[in-house]
Amino acid sequence: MNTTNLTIKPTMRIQAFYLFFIMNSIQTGSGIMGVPRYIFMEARQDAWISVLIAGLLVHLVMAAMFAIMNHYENTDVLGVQTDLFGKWIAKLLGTIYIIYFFFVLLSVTMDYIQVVQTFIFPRMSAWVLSLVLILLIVYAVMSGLRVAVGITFIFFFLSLWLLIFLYKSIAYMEITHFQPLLEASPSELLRGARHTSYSYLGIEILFFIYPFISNKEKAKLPAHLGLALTTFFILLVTVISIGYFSPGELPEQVWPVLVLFKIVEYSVIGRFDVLVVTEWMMVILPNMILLTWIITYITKRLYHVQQRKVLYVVAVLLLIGAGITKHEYFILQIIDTVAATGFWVAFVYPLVLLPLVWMKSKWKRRKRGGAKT
Amino acid sequence: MKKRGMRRSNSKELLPSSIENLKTKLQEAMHNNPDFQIRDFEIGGQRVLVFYISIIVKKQQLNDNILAPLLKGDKQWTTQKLINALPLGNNVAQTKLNEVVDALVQGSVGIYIEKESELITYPIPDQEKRSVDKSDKESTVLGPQDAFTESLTTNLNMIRWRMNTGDLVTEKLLIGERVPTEIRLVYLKNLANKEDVQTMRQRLQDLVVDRIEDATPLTYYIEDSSTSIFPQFYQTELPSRFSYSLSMGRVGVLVDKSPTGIIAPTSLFSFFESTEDVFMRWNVGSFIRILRFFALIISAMLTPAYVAALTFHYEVIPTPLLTTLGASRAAVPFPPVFEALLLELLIELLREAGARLPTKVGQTIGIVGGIVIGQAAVAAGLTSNILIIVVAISALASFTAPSYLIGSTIRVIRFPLIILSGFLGLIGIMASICFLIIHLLKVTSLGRPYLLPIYPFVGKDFSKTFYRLPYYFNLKRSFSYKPQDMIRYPKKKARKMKDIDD
Amino acid sequence: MKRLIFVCFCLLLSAGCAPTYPIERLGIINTIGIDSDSQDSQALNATYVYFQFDPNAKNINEIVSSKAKTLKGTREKANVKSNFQLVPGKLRVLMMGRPLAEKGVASILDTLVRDAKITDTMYLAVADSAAGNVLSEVFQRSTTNVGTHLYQLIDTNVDQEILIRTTLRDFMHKYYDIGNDPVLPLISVVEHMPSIERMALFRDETYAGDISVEEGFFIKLLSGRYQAGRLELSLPIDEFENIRQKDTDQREEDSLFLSLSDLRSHNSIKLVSKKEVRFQSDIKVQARIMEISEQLELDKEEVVKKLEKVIQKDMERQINQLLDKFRELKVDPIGFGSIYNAKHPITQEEWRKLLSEMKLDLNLNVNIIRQGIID
Repeated sequence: MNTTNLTIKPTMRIQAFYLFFIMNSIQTGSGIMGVPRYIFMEARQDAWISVLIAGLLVHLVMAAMFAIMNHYENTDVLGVQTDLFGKWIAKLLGTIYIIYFFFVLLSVTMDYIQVVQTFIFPRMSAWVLSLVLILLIVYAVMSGLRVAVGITFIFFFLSLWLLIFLYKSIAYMEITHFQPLLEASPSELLRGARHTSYSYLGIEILFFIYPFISNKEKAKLPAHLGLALTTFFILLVTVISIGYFSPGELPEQVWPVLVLFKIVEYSVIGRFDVLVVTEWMMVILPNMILLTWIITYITKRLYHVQQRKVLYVVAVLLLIGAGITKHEYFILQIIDTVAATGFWVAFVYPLVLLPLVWMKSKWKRRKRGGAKT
Repeated sequence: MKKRGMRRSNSKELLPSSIENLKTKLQEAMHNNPDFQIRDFEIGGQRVLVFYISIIVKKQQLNDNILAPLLKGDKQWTTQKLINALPLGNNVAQTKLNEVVDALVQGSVGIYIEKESELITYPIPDQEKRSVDKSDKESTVLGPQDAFTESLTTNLNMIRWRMNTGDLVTEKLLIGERVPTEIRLVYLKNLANKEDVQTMRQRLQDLVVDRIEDATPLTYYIEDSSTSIFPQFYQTELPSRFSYSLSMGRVGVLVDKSPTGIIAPTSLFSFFESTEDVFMRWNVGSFIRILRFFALIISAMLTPAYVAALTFHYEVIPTPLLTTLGASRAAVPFPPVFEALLLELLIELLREAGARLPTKVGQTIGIVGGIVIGQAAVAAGLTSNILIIVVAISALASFTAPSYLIGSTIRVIRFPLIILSGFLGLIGIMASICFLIIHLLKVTSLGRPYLLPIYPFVGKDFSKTFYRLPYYFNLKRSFSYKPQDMIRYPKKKARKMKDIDD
Repeated sequence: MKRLIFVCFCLLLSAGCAPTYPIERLGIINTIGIDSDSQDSQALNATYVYFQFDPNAKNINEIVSSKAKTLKGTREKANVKSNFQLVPGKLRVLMMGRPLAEKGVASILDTLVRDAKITDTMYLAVADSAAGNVLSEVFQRSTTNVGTHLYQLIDTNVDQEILIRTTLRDFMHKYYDIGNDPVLPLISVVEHMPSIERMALFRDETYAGDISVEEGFFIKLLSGRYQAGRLELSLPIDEFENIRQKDTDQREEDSLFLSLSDLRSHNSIKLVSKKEVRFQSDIKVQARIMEISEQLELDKEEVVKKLEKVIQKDMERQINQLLDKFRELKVDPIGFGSIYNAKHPITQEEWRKLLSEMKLDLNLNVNIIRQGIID
């Protein structure tokens, strides 16, 4: 904590181009299953404009994050905070990050369990499902960031094929659902954009993963592309959902994206939605693994606790948290809270941090200049 | 190696010594072995001692090339004169008892001339070995058919002939504290990645065991992770495959008395490559290779999918299939998991029995088991007939893997998958797939990631791993293992597109 | 630690594993017939046709009826009567009795949509009388497999573009859309076999009237496109007086019968005037003549042109008749309302009022491209 700059062993570094997959995987998780509904409730048939607005804003936030990180040689946000606010406030802020990430993780887990219980096993215990997920997470995080990134990379391709099967719902789309254009007021559009925040969460990972990147000069492009892909995914499912569902129908769907797959049927596979829900495990696992890794990493950085021990504690807490919740409204409440907090932590905080970093460096320079003269 | 060196330095100095003294010392060292022969000649008033273990030296050579020149005439011999007179190479001058014993047990003949300061040994070992034969385990249709034998010299001979370049290095190492076995580290000096060679050498040198049974157990001592179910070194019987890998910059290990060559580093996918793919036309070869990957997936997933669908997800089964499946399942008294495990076990039993029995009986067992038992099981209502097809397909698919090791790995993986699918359905299958992928990401082979070229991603190598391309696209070697020289052959002058009728 | 985790895992697996649905113990519901009860207007009568896998049973289908207040309730009641666990995962056809359809079906369909196990691609249909009677009559009196038969009856006809696609998805979509009404096949029993005789028109969720299957052709012509449709027409014969080859055919009939096949159509509807509620529809039809009751010289251009013109006129007449019927019943299966709504948002009630004033300018263009292998 004393030194701002981190030295990462060469074997632990990752190539910049994996940032594309990291950014995309951590954002595409449980949020995207339900996001069209929330945006639609605010911006109606112009929801897709909201998605574009949100995408642009998130790109700005990411640019701000890069600006902050580039100010330092090789550090993460914890180092930045120590540099700006001193040791104790930085520790407090870091702890907030830990708690925040834990709740994001919890909400993802609970949401997926909820989906499985609704679509496949209505009577299956949440304990079993969360145990299965947590064992996988523990097994993966045990080998550190390199393996976590590998999982992200491979699972990205293994779940990408799901997109192909949206073709059938595209065929069912009605153009009239998008008309009349530009009905929504700017404030409605912005509110719609804000509702995408849960799906864009995870961008903060850049703050922590940045020191691990070996070729930093090339980091910006893949990260922004990954973000653009997320925007594209959200845009795609939003557009298809608006076209596919009637305006009266969409606000009633809890997971409109999964329902889109309900009309896919083949002579070999009778039902596709079951497969999609199962396959979704590959979409959320990288998400959960990266989040868990961040939690263990921050704790190690802040409190010098062994990552392994933190991992066990997180696993047990997650198991208890996901196991005992049963009620849908409670889960929705947690997700809403996480989404609201995430909006401030992930998107507003970097924008606040950036001017502070600028001010500090200016002040430093003036001080140094003053000392010289 | 260091330890063994230490043992040597402790050994007693044998010479100089009197003839009688030497005789008793040698007899003692050989524990009065009845096969140990010491012949005491008197030539020109000088006593010459010739000693050897009679059953492991070539009698013909001994008589013609050693005894005949030695006994001809009444010359006064010195060691140097003898070396010049005998028509044999690789003589070794020895002074230490232990070294002499080591040489003798490896088939050397020792000659001592009275009053000389050292004795000389000539290795003329007579090794019983079978002739070079076709490979049973890795049979190919196209390409060379010869296989390694148990003799290291023969194996090295085959490799040398295939790779007659001065670049080929065969480093000799001895492993085994009690019974040392000769091991050769084989690689191309100017091609193989130096780091890989060093790692392999280091691992072999650091190995302390009493004895190595064969090349296969040797891999278990030196591989990266012994808890993993996946083999991390490729083992092959085919000199063609071995030398092909060497020419791609891999490191090979040959073990004396073992018909198996070890190749490292390997990735998971190289277990699905066969040398045949190289001999095939590129498009046919690609098709067959992709077919094998499908076979892997089918073999591991088909039975678990059956169990999951029938236990939990009836809605996934298409309606026409549902009626046939339901009708055949209706009479079966067990749950699908149990049914599937039973049948998979039956197939494994058949395979094991077939492998243990002589070829002809094995075939009979296969037919009896496959047809008679299968039919009877359906008729008796123990299994559904669709499951028989499912299990047969997945067993068949598992045998398409060119490497026997990976084939058995897949067959074993199937069992936990079936059990998990019986508990958690598709979620269980998906969780196990995720687990397998995470596990494969953790495994390394000689320190290199096991899932190369997927992760870390090396897109250029896809044409070497998953499919094949015409030769003019394959100018370079596999990038994943960082050989010293990437270029296989220079790019030809641009292949111009000719116009029609040009 | 690892061993502890493993033990925990095994314990949880054995204790909390998912409830199994081994297919041999399931009664897999294939078709449901729902009626409102004749005595108790609140109650539902449901008839379930399901697959059962009993090695001793001759018929793979079984039928069971029950009565309850909710759809789920009827299933529980039916379960008591069956030795198999009734599950809805492979439900393919839902048939509603006409009396029930007249009352409204939204609440029943909402139950189906809410259940994740039920597929969105199942077909809906209306029975001519009580749905339960249709199912049980076919089940008892005919040897056919009633569950799959009904599904295939609708499915093949939809595939051949004789029927409009009427899945649950389509119904809900049209029901929720403003200015669009669903259409369902109306099934009656002819000689103990189910048969699609007419099409049922819905006003929102309630049955409003019916039209013939032939008239149903024009709904699709106006609202969608044909890839390979077919149409039978009877044209007044006087129109062809000059070009008819009398010597070859002595029959004296007052109509010319004609069958068009491989009919491709393309159509676009625009709102021309908001005030007059006037729409304009451009329809292009391309077809092949496969059957004609009179000998015409079809290799001559003017004959073909004449024929096209007469066909055009006749189709326009039929479309206008159909539209009159729609105006009268205040239904909009073609979806003029959604086109209106896309330009000028209105509510469903407002559109119902406007519907009777709706006008359509037809711009029909028929093109005959082939006439088989003989002229």
